[in-house]
Amino acid sequence: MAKSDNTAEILKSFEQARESLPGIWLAETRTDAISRFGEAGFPTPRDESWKYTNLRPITRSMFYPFAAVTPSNGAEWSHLFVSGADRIVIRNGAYDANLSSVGDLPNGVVLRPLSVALETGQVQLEGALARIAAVDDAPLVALNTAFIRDGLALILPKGVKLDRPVQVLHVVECSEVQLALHPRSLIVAGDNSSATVIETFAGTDDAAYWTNAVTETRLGKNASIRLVKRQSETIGAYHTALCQVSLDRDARFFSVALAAGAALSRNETKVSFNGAGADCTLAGGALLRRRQHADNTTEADHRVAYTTSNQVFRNVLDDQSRSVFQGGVIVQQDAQKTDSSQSNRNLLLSPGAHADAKPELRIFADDVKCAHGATVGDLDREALFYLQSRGIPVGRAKALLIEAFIGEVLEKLPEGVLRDHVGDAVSGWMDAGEGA
Amino acid sequence: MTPPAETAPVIEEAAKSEYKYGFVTEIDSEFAPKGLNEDIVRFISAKKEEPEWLLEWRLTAYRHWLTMKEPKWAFVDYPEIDFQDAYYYAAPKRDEDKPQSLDEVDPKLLETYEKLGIPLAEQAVLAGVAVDAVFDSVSVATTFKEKLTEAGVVFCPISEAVQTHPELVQKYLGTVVPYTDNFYATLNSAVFSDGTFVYVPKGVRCPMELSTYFRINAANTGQFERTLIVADEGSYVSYLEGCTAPMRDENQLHAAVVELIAMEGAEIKYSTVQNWYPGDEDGKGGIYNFVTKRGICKGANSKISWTQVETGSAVTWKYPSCVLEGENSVGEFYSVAITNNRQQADTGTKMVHVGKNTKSTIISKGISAGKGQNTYRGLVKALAGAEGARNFTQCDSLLIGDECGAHTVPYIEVGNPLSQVEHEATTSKISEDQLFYCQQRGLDPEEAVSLIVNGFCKEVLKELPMEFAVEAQKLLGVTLEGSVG
Repeated sequence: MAKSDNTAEILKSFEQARESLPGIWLAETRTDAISRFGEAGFPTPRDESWKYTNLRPITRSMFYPFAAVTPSNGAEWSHLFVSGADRIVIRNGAYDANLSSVGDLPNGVVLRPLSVALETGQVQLEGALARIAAVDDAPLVALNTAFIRDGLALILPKGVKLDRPVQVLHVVECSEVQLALHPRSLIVAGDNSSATVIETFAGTDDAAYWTNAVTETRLGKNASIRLVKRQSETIGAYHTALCQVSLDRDARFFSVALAAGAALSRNETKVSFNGAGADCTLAGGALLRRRQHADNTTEADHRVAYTTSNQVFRNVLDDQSRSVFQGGVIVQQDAQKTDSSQSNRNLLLSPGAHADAKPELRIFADDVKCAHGATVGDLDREALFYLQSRGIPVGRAKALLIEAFIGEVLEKLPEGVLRDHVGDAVSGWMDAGEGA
Repeated sequence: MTPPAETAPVIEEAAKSEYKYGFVTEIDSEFAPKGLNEDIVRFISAKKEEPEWLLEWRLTAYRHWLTMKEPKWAFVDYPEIDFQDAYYYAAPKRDEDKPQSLDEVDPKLLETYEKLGIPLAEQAVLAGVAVDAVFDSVSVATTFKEKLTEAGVVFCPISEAVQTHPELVQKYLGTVVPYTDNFYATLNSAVFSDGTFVYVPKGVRCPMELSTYFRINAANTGQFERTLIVADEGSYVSYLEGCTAPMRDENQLHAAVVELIAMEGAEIKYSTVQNWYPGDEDGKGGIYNFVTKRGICKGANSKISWTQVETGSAVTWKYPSCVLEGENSVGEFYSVAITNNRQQADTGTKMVHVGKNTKSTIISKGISAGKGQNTYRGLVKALAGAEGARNFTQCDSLLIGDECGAHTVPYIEVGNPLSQVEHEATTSKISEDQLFYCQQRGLDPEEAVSLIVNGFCKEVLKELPMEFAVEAQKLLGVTLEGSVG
């Protein structure tokens, strides 16, 4: 394998950072993970699951693992705050207590920055942290695991329902050097518990960095988690993320992930169904222009009978941008009565745009219902004509159709702060296009 | 879930179905020595009395093959193939004086066809089909030659075409599937034994369906067909290919290459019914079918249509493809693939849209029974210049029994906003309501399943030419009866 990449520098930087990383009890896990990464190296397009996304821009860059944070009043980021939510802010990869605010919580709920939980809550994290997302065949997860520093730790005891959503806001303000950030979040929902978590990623305009996030989520029986992700990284940033979800009986996982930022991004969601009646909905998409590249990869692994999954992904591509959708549905031999559907649609607005889709089904059981569909095309000319014939200028008509297209993702969210938060990213993208 | 009581015995029988066409005709074959090296390539070439350029081409391919690795990406699992442990050339004796008419054909051969249910003479007369029957690697009978000659159509074994129409063969051979294409295509380029060559001149509508029956007979003989069909401007040809093979214990390798070239306004319809020995219920024996089939729509308004009914082979690895270069050209792919017992099939198509306003349709029906694994793997690609390209893909899978698998892996790559690509897929099992209804009307479970499966495949079967449709339906019935139920 060609070693012309930065693997060696990354290994070196780990050795330097090792001492400063929180949670002594995690040392062995880190060592194991970094050696896994060292052995495997970065994935390349030769790996089937990375066929359409080349990490070369990342592997050819030099990254620094950490930068000091200067205090901030947070004015710059307040527009990203979700009102009424408990908020944890991670600036340049570290917890910022000033910008964060967490209200009163029901008894037994752990809602903390991971760095704090690592030092004080070993008992609660053990058995969950770095246990849900495997590092085998996942070099980026291994790398994140080695560098675990901060993020969200949310642990819900049995039967607790959080009224307020929880927002984790990741912001990067460093323009001097390129940072590599490995935010890690852990969500453990006990039986019958429920919560909404919002992950927001952003940076200051001139910052170029690499976010390599991992979110581990485990749902107990009849638990329910809604995970909303807004990726509004800067145009010079790289973003790779994996969300690994494990579902017990009757658990419900619902996620909406929208990407409008980053030069290169990959959002991977893997759900394993371990109990009957478990259900998941994965919705998402990307709004892209210039030479942006966004990859949405999913895997719904139905291991047991009577589980359902539903995937809806929409991409809008302008200029020379490129989108990837790799949707995986696996139905194991025991997973009879699985009901799964998957839909991916791509809207190409410019001759240079390119969409790749690979909606994959692997089915080993016979009594199942699985369907998937994928389309690529441009705006419906008749719809456009119709709107124009009603006196709507062509620019506005196009915008309406695009909004309706991406709206199929947004409408999965309830009206109010959640939909507004993600919707802001959409209108931001639309406005930027009008100016250009 | 366990199947309903009344269908259980039917499904159970799936595992027990024996290959109905399993028999061996004893004819002395003339073998090249076992193994593969440059001498073997030279031996084959010499046997065929080939010109220098073809030998050179074979040798270049062979040398390139040595640098290649066997592909592993397909969702199939089979023991390592020892390429040195096989014969690369076998011909029925009396090669020198090939029979000129049916009367001269070895009666034993005719008997073989008789057993296959394809009485050559009868079929030729009744169906008006010219049959170029390949027995092992050398063609032994060609009929209806005169009528074709009258129309100016060249239809002969490729080895003969090399002698009689060298300029045509040299001009087109390897232009669609180059010798560097893939592991098995390269191997085929080096050692291809025989195959069919068809040339339809400008403006000619081929007066009859062309058909070739392939048959693997001698044990341990890899069979490497090479088919080349060229349809010149404004012409039309329909070609049928069908295969059956006798029961074998050792795995047999089959790596064919088919190249289709359609010039402006030409249309090629290529239909296949494949029923090679699939191995016994434990997966022992059976044919390895690693085929490269590709057509190129070179001229504007040309059309290539692939129809396949795949019921045999232990392992199938096959992606009949269309490169749509000419403006307004059309590619079609209709497929039924059945896997039973331990059969594995990784099959699909590639539609590459290069020219403007090109259109393609993909209809794939996969049926898995027993412990069979059935994968649809297809690529639809619209290049930046393919304005107005249009594709519609539908892949449906039917599962029978709870130990089989059905997989769908479509690759969609679109680099043009004026193109429209749609993909749909569903996976389901035979509904119990349908089964119940049929049985309540007096059909036994086996007939009911057969009826439902035939209905499931209807969209594809109706694409087959008449002569073939009958056989295909029968074949489906045979595979299903006792196999799927």
